[in-house]
Amino acid sequence: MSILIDGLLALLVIYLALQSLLAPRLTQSVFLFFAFGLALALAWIRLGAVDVAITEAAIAAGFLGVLFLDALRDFSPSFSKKPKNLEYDQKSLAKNDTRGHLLPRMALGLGLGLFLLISLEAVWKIPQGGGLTAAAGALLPESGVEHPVTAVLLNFRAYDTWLEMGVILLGLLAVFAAGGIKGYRKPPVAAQDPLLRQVILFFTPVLFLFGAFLLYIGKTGPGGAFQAGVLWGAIGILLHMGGWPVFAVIPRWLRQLLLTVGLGFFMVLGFLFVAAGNALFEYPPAYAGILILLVETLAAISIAATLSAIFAYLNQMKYPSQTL
Amino acid sequence: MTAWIPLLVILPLSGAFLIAIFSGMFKRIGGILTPLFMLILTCLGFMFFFRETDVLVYHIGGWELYNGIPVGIHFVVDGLSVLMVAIINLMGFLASFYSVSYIRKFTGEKYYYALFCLMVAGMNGVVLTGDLFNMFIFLEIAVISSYALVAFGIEREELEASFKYQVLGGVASLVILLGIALIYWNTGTLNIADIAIVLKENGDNKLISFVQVLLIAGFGLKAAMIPFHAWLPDAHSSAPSPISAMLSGVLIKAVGVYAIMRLFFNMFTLSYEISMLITVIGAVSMVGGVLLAVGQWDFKRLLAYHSISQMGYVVLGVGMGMVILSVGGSRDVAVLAIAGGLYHMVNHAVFKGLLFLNAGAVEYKTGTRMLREMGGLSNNMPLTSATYFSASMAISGIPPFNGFFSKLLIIIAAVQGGFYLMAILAVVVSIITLASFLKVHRYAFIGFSRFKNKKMFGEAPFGMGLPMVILAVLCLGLSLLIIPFFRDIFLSPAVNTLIHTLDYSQPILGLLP
Repeated sequence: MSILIDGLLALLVIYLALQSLLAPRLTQSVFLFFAFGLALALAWIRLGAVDVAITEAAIAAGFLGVLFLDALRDFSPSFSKKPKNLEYDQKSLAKNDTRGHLLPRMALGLGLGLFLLISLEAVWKIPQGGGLTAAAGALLPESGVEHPVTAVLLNFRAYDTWLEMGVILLGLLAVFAAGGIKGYRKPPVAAQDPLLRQVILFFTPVLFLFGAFLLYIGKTGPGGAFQAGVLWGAIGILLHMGGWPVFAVIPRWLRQLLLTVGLGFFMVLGFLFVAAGNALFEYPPAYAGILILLVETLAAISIAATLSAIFAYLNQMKYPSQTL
Repeated sequence: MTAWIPLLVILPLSGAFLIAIFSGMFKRIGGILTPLFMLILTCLGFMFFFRETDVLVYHIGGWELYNGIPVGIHFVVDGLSVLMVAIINLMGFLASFYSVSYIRKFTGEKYYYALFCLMVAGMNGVVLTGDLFNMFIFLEIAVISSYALVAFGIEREELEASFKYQVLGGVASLVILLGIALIYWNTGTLNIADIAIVLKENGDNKLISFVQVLLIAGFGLKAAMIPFHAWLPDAHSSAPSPISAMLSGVLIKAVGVYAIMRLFFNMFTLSYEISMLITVIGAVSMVGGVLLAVGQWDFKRLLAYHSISQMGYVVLGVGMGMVILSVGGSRDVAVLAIAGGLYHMVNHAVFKGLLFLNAGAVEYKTGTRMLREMGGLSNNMPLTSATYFSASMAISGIPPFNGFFSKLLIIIAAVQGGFYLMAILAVVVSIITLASFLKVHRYAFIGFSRFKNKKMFGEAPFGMGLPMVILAVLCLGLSLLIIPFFRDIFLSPAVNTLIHTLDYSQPILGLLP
């Protein structure tokens, strides 16, 4: 019975992926992509990886979905901020005609297919090694948390996690450097979709609570800072879409504090450990649990702030500049 | 001395953090902090040449081995990584010092310095870490900052170059990540030293050959070896000049060639086929790069193509060493080939960095990069002209400049190892390189002026002149590395790390008797 379910799920994932690529209109592509993300999350659950499933659902179906919806809205005649889009008819939502690219497409498809076959050939029946699982399990009591994934992320390999947060902040810096806009400005008041505003008002507390739950549960079960950060980031983006530009109106110092508090606290903590004579990121075992929870909370706040900041920054490029 | 190791990463990272936060209050903070931090890092890097034991290991988070299994992440300082650290931070210091005058004409100075620090932190991390996944993260930090820095001028041409670089770099990162995932799946560990031991026990299998090809493609793209080179000429010529010097001088070495050397010598078991593949890729890049460079009329684009060609020399030298080791040939010849490759890598960082700084000074003063529009600059800019001359002689392999000795080592090793075709190609490529740089000399620095506005250009400011002079002196001074006394301090430990392939794992996993 379970092989039947798994087989059907695998077929569904592939079918949705293909349909999402081949759908003739952008709207269809976007909604098929949602469905694809959810099906993939289900597949991860069937594989026993609940952490990955939550992340997949939060990022692919939640976060990316919101971004895609915003992109779609720019093309839609009734809500577009650019007047010239009003002239377009429904055709503007259809993808460009790409008949001329048949040959490169076929070559690319063949190449990718060949690559897939070779990789399948290579990984077929190769035994899986497992050295780290036992060691991580044995050291779990010393790490201050009860879930092995959290222990690996925030204690054994805390250094990697710290750098990953650096990468997210680096993305923001790169957007600023290449964006060419100085600072945030208040967006002009535009006509908003009343239905969207109601939906956003309803979902904001729900998303917030669910994010907080994921954050806290990370100590003992699947969940943690990155998943919670993405959900909270989605709140910021939704509020911007609904016409509450929270991120553009708060003072500059608060914005900078929110953006950097996660990385900065982690960094100061690392320095303090070194100053106390320990190695970098060596938690004192007695306080490891509480320190990890604190680090995770601040990290989630910074991740959420960074995601909203990038969205808000890119979003304001759409306003005509004379409405400053 | 072990306790100092993490500073090499923490210092530039916190520098980026401080600059990004405080540049709102103090406008000039980036221009002051960055060169200062880079100077400290350079001193730290050189300090590690005089370490007590051959290999230093730092356990992050204090997680020691558990039953011989590494749970945490290690930093490893050995001969090869300390050589890389020294050139990365030295070039970083000179390029950031040069930037202070150069970058004033751009807006968004604070992002420039923050991204610069992050790029250096990423490169230092790549060469220091002993963990495969950690290496991937550092690699991403280094290349994502370089994407933004290439696009820094936000003109159409720069954005296009950065976009092309991002797409190809993204594909390379994906391929590398897939390779790392497959290795973890097969061996159950991410520590490079531990993987080496497990792979030796398991013996050869199909998966590992597949992973090796994936990693050659991924890191080869980051190093811009010839079938994967399409992004380099655009990216390296569009970036601000000090960044071009960093990209060509150290980034393609740290995230490309270093990773290939470390993983293929110290992690995988050397095989004849893969070694030959690497050697051929090196030779093709060496020839192809210079042939593409000859026809260029854009100063920086010409230099970018020469980077492909000169990195070909490095990969050729190291690859020949791999082939000789894998078939069990003479160890002395392998030592010579690898030493030649590493020596040329150090030299290339110095002279290519200098050439890009020269191009930057010319562009800064005259506003053009097109060779046909220049002429007679040696009268107006004597310092730039003189330093350019020494760098161009070094890259073409004219004695007594450093390039001559490293190319000589590679050619002698090729002849002794029986790679006669490679030896001939190396000589021919060197001659074409000389021709190409004499063309630049003829069109840009001597003869009559072809500038549209006939006013006299002055010399570049002091902040730009000093790094160029230091690098020009180094072009001569690095010839000393051929003398046994200096060679034993700087070069031989790195060669030994690569030659004794399994010795890398032993001190890290505590297997020493």
